[in-house]
Amino acid sequence: MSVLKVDHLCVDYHSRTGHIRLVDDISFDIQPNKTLAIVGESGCGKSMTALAMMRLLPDGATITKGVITLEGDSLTDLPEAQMRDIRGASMSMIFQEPMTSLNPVFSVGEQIAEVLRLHTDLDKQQIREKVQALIRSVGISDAGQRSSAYPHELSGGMRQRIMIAMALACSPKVLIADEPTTALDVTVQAQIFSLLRDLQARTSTAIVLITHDMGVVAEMADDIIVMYAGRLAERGSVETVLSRPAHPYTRGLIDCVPHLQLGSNISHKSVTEIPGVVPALETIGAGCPFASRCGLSEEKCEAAMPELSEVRPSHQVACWNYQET
Amino acid sequence: MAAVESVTRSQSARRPGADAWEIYRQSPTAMLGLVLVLLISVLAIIGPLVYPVDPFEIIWAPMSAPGTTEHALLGTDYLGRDILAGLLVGAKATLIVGLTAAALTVIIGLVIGALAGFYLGMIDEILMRVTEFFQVLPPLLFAMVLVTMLSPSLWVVAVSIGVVSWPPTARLARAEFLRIRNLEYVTASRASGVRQGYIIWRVILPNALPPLIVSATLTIGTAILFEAGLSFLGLSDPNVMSWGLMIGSGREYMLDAWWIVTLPGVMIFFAVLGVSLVGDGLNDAFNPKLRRR
Repeated sequence: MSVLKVDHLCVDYHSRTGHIRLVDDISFDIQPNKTLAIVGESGCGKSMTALAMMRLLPDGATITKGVITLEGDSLTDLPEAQMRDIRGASMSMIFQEPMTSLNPVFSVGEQIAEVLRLHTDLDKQQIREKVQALIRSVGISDAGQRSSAYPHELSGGMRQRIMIAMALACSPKVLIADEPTTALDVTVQAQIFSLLRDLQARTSTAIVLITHDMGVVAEMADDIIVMYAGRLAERGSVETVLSRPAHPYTRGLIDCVPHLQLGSNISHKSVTEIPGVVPALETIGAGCPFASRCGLSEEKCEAAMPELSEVRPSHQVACWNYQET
Repeated sequence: MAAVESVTRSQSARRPGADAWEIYRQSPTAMLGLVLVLLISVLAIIGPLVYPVDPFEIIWAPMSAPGTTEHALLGTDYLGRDILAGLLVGAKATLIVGLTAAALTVIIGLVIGALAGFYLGMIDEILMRVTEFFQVLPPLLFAMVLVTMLSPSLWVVAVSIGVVSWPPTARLARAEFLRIRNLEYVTASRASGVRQGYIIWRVILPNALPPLIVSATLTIGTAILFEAGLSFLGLSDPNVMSWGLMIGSGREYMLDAWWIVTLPGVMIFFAVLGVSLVGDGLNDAFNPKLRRR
């Protein structure tokens, strides 16, 4: 039984000059206690997909098609007041920049307490205890002192821990983590991921992890979807997709991860790049959006967008020329 | 060594406001402003208690120069009323008008600017057109019309000044709300399920306050000048002694008895100077670019 299901989601941006499709026909679902990674370069619609799930799209962007269901209830046509009760309680989100995603004028304890005040009936004393317990649960010692600290007094890793404590305060069913470690040191990054794994094991929260780093995917995720220019490029379990990627874009992303090789034969060619950049969304025609950067591109690719097709059970790819690997 | 010191200092600063006070304290002009403002407040509050002379009562020969009689230390005006008593009692009127007008300016400006900057769209259009309507009227003239239409009491003067001076504050508040509403911590608090009212007043407002506090402080100075101007033109309450009234009623005797207009003029000068210096000091203290040096 999947806890969150996204069905044919489309997000459009309306501007004076017309519509741009930011997210085009994305479908996935996620089970409790599992982690789904959404992977792609900047501007591929990963964050928009996440914000659409929270119904927090920026001004001008709206969900134009598709259904998002949380435990069987549709979120897409829910009144805003009920959606507010879901945000932070059943579904919560942590953001990329821990340095800027905490309110600078309130102590971190106060900010965690606010979430509890909103979504629970605990009294003052219980809230205070719960805040301390939450701060301890994300691996911060001297919780009593830290809860009265202001965001500018904490390090980036510390702040991200506080964000996680805040997001998990009401034991959500789904946690959306939008590049939670991009702004942090690698060592801190590893700590945050192991913290997320521990917490997941305890609470069986489903995690939607948005990242561009295939290394992170390998470490954290069970399933993966690869997005390119707002569309689904490839989808499957992490083992299959990472070991036998079918879409040339997925292969490109995997080749972009630097391999640490020790010894005499360090190969400087072990890192390859994908030439070019993600095309501007308004310039995408009928064909495959990746065609202009793809080594396998042919006439067919420029002419029509390939449908998702099954490579093997639970591994799908949208490519005319995918290679069995 | 310097690095160690800065680390310990930033750790000892508990609230963000503590940093600001630290910076404020180091500016001599800002401290001078604070001293002036405190001094005038003390004069206004305890002055009339220590020196309980009715400023409207005739106590000595008219137009006695300061220091010529022990009955009126700072001399008397054209009717023989005590100038010192006028200055002390007038301080209260001046402060009341200044503070009321500034408070009103901030309240109107903040509400209008906050709603416009947060909701945007039609609400923004309508509120900003209203703001522009008020902004294009010459403020002194507008205030004069209001005071003439209503009875010229102290409170009417204060409210009129507030009503004509809020547009710049509204624009400032709107700009701050526009800037802050798209910051990540606002999205993050939305993601935790808080209400819109909470986002406006508890998340965005506290972060928008520093420039608004500065502008409010400067508004006090402008309001004091406004009140003096209206009094000078004979448009304020003739039954409440204020510095502006003293200048206004004594202006015909300026050449024969300089002290009648000069002494209240000097008081206005110091009051406005003090408030402006405090405003400048607060501006430096809150300015994040200066803070990180």
